Amino acid sequence: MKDQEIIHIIRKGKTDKAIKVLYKEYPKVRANILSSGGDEKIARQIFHDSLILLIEKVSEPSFKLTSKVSTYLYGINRFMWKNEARRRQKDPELEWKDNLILTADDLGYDKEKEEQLTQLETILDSISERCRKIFELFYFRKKSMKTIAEQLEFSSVNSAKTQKYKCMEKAIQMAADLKPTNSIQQP
Amino acid sequence: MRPELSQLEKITQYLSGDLDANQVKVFEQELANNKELNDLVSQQKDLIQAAKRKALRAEIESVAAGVAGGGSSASLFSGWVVLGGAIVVGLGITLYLTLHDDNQELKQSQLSFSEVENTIPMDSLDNSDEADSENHMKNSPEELVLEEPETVFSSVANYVEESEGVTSKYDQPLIVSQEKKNHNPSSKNGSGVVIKEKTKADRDKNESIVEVYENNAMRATYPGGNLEMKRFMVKNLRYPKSAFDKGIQAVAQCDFQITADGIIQNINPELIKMSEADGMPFNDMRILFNKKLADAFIGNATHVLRTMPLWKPAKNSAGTPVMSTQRIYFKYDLIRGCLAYQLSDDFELPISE
Repeated sequence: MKDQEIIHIIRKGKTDKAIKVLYKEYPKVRANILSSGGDEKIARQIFHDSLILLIEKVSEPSFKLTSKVSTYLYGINRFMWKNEARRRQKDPELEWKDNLILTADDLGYDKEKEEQLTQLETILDSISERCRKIFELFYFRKKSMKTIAEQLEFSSVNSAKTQKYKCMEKAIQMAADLKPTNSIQQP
Repeated sequence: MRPELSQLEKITQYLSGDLDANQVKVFEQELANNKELNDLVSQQKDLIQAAKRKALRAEIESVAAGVAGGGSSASLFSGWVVLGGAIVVGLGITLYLTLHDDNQELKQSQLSFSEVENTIPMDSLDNSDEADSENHMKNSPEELVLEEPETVFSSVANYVEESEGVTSKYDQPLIVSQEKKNHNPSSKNGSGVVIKEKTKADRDKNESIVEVYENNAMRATYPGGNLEMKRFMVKNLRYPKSAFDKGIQAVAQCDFQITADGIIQNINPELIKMSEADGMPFNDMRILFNKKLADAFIGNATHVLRTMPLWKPAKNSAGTPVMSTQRIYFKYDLIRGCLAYQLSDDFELPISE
């Protein structure tokens, strides 16, 4: 598939197809991570995080591709693995092909924000299934509130909407509750 | 709706661009003066991003589960073996049919297949058995497991070894023998010349492998090819017992030179990683106190290299043998046993004169 096609289908929201294509890059990334001291689990995790980052980047309307998509993905993976290796406080053997070296600025990668987002993801784990479904359908699948109300059998569009904001309020509240304990633990 | 909820709604509308210009103006004015509202907006923004990520992550996981390579690479490679086998059988049958159809046609088909034939060693007959036994090897942890597509001696499928058997079954010595002699003067009965080019079908299947082979004619090779090297590794690569008992894993990287005569010299081993059984890498202290184990790993790796037979030296573009360097990684893994592999990134062209 051509790069422009990949970008096009990601923007159209058909991410699953794009992921299938991009996943072909995994063995290469995996071999690199394994040979520089990572294990299977972390390789997979890093590749998935990189995919997410790539898709988020591509979805931004301002995104312009300066290299091949696969090269870009490879660069992101290299960056992510370097980050992770630094976090583990060991000297990574980074003998990756350096055809695209990305920095945090290139990617708009903010460590604090990433941590915050990871935390929010865990919070989303603990809200009710129904809430999660609404979020997924509305924000990710870009379904209208009307379809969602029908699909999840709400009595009306309005009650679905109310439910959505209640969920949101709850999640934000949970995040706020978590914060203070964290700031105590950290120093 | 409660006022708190309608505020959330307002924010959502603002973020998704559903407000008209006037409303945006009012809202942004409010934003500038109201820190609490500002916080709420950024919280909601983050939450939405997290929700999107969550869904995306789930989607990636499900795709990963569907991709053979994502699950277990072993199954992926056996898939390749089957695929490669199928292609080769197809080729063989076509050849066979044309052979019986018309002798005139045969010559033509020979011509058209010559590209393929160049790449295929023809002389060994027991390939199907070979392929099978290779597959079994993967299951036993003591054996050499080679699965990275980057590696030289990765899967059987990469070498189109099965093809020799099939084609030679249809008995067409005409096509190759000359080619074969040129490439493999040393071994009359060796299990094959290293493949120089991939067939087109293979190329479509995996681009990254092609890179590995592009300059193969130039590189130094193990006598008899990579499959032969694999067998050698299986026989000689051993997990050092002291380290195995203590549950310690390691990766050794060995650089060495191959002279124009094919002799291995200047082996430069380096232990690039040592880790506990659970994968925790050693800290400096642990490394210092486990010098003996490190030596055991390096000792085994260099032993393997030192006992190797003469290599076929690298050649420059004029075809003269020259000195070259190679890098092989030896990975000692408690679960998967010992591995030896090369990465395509490490391949260098031989120094020309």
